[in-house]
Amino acid sequence: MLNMMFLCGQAQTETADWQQQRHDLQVGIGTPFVAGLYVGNYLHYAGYGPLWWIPSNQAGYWLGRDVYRGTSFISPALSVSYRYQVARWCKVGVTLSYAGTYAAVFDRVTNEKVGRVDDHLISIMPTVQFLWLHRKYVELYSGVSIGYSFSTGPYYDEMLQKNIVYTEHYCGFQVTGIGVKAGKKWYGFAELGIGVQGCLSAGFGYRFNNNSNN
Amino acid sequence: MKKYIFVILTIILISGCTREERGQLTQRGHEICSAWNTAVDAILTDDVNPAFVLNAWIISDEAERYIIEDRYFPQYKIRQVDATTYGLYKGAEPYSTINTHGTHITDEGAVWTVTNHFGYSYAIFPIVEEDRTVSITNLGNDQWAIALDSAGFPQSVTHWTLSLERFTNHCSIFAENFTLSGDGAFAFPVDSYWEMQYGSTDEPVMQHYTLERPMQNDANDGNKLKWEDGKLSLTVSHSGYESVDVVMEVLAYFHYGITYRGVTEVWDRIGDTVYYE
Repeated sequence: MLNMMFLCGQAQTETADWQQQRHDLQVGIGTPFVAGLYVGNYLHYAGYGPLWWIPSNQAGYWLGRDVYRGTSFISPALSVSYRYQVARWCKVGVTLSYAGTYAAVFDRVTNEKVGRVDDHLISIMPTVQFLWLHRKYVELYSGVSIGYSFSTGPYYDEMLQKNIVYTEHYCGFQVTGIGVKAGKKWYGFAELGIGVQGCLSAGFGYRFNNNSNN
Repeated sequence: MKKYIFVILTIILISGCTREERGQLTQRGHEICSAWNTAVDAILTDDVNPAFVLNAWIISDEAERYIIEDRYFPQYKIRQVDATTYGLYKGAEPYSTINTHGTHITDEGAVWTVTNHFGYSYAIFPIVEEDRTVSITNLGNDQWAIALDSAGFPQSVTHWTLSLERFTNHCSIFAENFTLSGDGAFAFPVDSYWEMQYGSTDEPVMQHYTLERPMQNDANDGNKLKWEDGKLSLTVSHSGYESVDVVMEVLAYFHYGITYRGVTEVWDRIGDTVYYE
């Protein structure tokens, strides 16, 4: 708390003119853990999940084709964000993020490839950021985003024995505990938090003003 | 700075990789046989064996009764309900009721009826809706017919013959070498997830089975089923789906050969791996 007060005090005495670069566009890449939970939820019902695995041991599934996922890949959580600085200590904006899982599905007995299980989680979220420190080259901040997410993609249905395309809807979120930006117009950033953009994320961005003189 | 960026990106990329192992090829067959074995184990352990132990308790003196209660019914109290009926109580709740019909189970022609009031609560053994009733009929020559009467799911039946090699201890059947032969069927309702995806149905998934070679219990401390030999052949069916055949051969204790879709593998355990929600 003392630290925050100290940093806020410093922010108050900051002389940089934040109004010169109120627009902020950034792209980021993050760990997909939470995104994996979202898409994994659906796979759980299908009997084979990417993050945990529960055998499809209900009697109804005994008559289905016994399948398993091959090597799968969960993409990093990719995001594009735009923010507008409304005050020295506050930015608002919107974030678009994507994370996906991709895997082939194989018959367990014959090892024949029978289908796919892919999930694409897309989120669009209004965002607000609170700056603790706003200096010429460094910013420290926290933030929160809450919005709409949906996942879609094919999965192999072992009872119907064919690929089905599904869509699920969720509440998307991202809470950034602490973030740091370094740079002036072009900057790099790293964040620790939790949500669809990742627990650990990093990337780069560009600050600009709609006034061409800046 | 570049080093930190490299570390962060490496963590991000590694965290995205997952892999599911193919596992044993007869996994589905193992699940099916496990469900069968769990059902059989439930009937023998919770219904049939208590009847034999109760028979020993009835003919014992008071000192021996304490020993039997401590060893085989440590969690239950035995109460005589009426002239021919006894109850196993857990607290004030009757766990099962056993009607001797005024006979000893060792009398040729004797028919005992065991009603398990918690049979339905076996999540893994959903073949009855309420009470599960098993009739035990003495056929003579240390053989008993075991018949399941499942009012809720009349498709579930057993036509078993339990043959004791020699009934020396006159108490737990698990303490004796015995064989179980016959055939039958078990009905397993589909679960709610399944119905959500493929439609609501009252039709259970059926296991029709035959013991091609009698299942043989190896005498043990008297508290558990211990298959040592036997061969089971079963067919799983449900309308609208192609039926599945599975064969399980008990090669030795802890060695179960399971054949599923033409592939045979040996498993080191069976049962207790299937649950029902």
